[in-house]
Amino acid sequence: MTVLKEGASMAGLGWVMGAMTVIFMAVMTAWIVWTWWPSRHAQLEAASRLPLEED
Amino acid sequence: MSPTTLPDRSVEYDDRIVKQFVIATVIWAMAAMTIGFILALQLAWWPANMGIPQLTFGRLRPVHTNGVIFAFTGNFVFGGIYYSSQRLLKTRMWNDLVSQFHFWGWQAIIVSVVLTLPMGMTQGKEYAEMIWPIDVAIAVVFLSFVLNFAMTIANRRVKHLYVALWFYISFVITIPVLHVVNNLVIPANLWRSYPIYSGMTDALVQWWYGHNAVGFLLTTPILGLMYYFLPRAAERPVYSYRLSIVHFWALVFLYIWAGPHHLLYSALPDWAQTLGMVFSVMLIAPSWGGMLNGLLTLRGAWDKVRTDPVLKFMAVAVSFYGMSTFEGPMMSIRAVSALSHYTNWVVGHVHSGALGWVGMMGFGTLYWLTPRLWKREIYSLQLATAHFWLATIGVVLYTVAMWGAGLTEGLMWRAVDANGQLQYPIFLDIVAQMQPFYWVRLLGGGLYVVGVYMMAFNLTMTITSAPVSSPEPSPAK
Repeated sequence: MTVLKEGASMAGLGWVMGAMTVIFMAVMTAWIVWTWWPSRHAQLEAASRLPLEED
Repeated sequence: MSPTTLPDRSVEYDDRIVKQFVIATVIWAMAAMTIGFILALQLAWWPANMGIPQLTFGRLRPVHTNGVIFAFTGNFVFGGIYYSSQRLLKTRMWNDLVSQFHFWGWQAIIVSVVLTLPMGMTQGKEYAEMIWPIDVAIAVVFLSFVLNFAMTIANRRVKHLYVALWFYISFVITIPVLHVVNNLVIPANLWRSYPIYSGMTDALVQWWYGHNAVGFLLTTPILGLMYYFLPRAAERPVYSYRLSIVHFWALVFLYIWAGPHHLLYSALPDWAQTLGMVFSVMLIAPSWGGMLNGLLTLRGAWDKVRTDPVLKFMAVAVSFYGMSTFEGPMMSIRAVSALSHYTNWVVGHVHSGALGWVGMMGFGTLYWLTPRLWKREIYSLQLATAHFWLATIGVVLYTVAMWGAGLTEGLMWRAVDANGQLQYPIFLDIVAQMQPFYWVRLLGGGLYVVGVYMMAFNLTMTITSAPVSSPEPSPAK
């Protein structure tokens, strides 16, 4: 607890922004990996043809 | 499970509502853009206001802007969403009565705006000038659409939500939030109210709203329509579906933070200005993801672009989207904003997006939709092609004239002599330099408006007198 309190007292806005940047970059990277995952390829290819299906 | 679950029964889509929105789009396009032409004339030749208070620039300008944003673009977006959502979800809209309430309510709102703003009844907030009773009506009518759209998604017979629907969802969620938060006021009487915010907070909320109105009304739903109608018109799937997913989430995440770039060099805290600037610059990546995806969808289909005015309009629209979304982030950089802000460069930027991106996508979609909805061949392909060239030349003339005007006045405002004194201290001298640019802008805008009237004639003739088509009419055939 003491360590956490010490850490909190030391954390300035720069630390918060740095942490948020890392988190958002990680989320973005994970999202790209999820989208380009090979096993998902066929499903997304089929989805891309939805507008072309008969009315 | 396959992303597409084929329907086990035939669906009769509600195309009546689409037809209504298509007709309204054409009518309001003529009205809003004609007013724009009158305003351009007034700036080049001020007696064009005819000395009538209701026709002066300050009264008419918000009629033009709100007309283009909510009447032309709004009706186009709603019509496109009603058409494509039903087909992507393979189900009819949830409730026809709610659809009709939405349509007629929206038209009543537009008429009330046209009547009140020239009379000087305004909140004085850009793109949110409407007085509070109209704001309440907008919220109610829009929420009826939200309900209808959400219930249609709930009733869908396709598991996968195609990327266009995600763009529509972002529009459906954000617009009511932006509208309600920015229009929180204390009414004084039926015509007048006071915002609950004051000072810098009011400005920040206003530009959070203003910029995201651009983002979530003039960008994301149009991108959604691009992801449906461009593949339909080109008869091929989107170039990279995976790119569309990634750029969608990046776009909606970044857009919502970019508003403070409208308040650079203001009393807004410096960190908030920097935040707005940085997020604006980052927006280039997802914006160009959409632009490249749109253009590359035409890979292997460029021969069709030569002959099909629908694809011509859409290709130029996507190109203008790319140009505008590069120019915007550049203008949000402090050093560039110092030169461009308050100048006609901003007017040029806005119109390259509105006329080049939104307008061209709208025209392409209207030329694609009308023959299919009324099951008739297009009346005149030549007229549609002529419209395309008039519109393209018109936008280029407009934008280049405003770049010239903006750079000229921006440089003259900040020019100092050897003693550090303003080189052009008389503001009117700088205004006088704008005259030639204003005339060129009038010419460009005039060409664009003539094109819109040609489209109205062409589509009217298509609906009323063109021969009945085969089951799948195409302007390209």
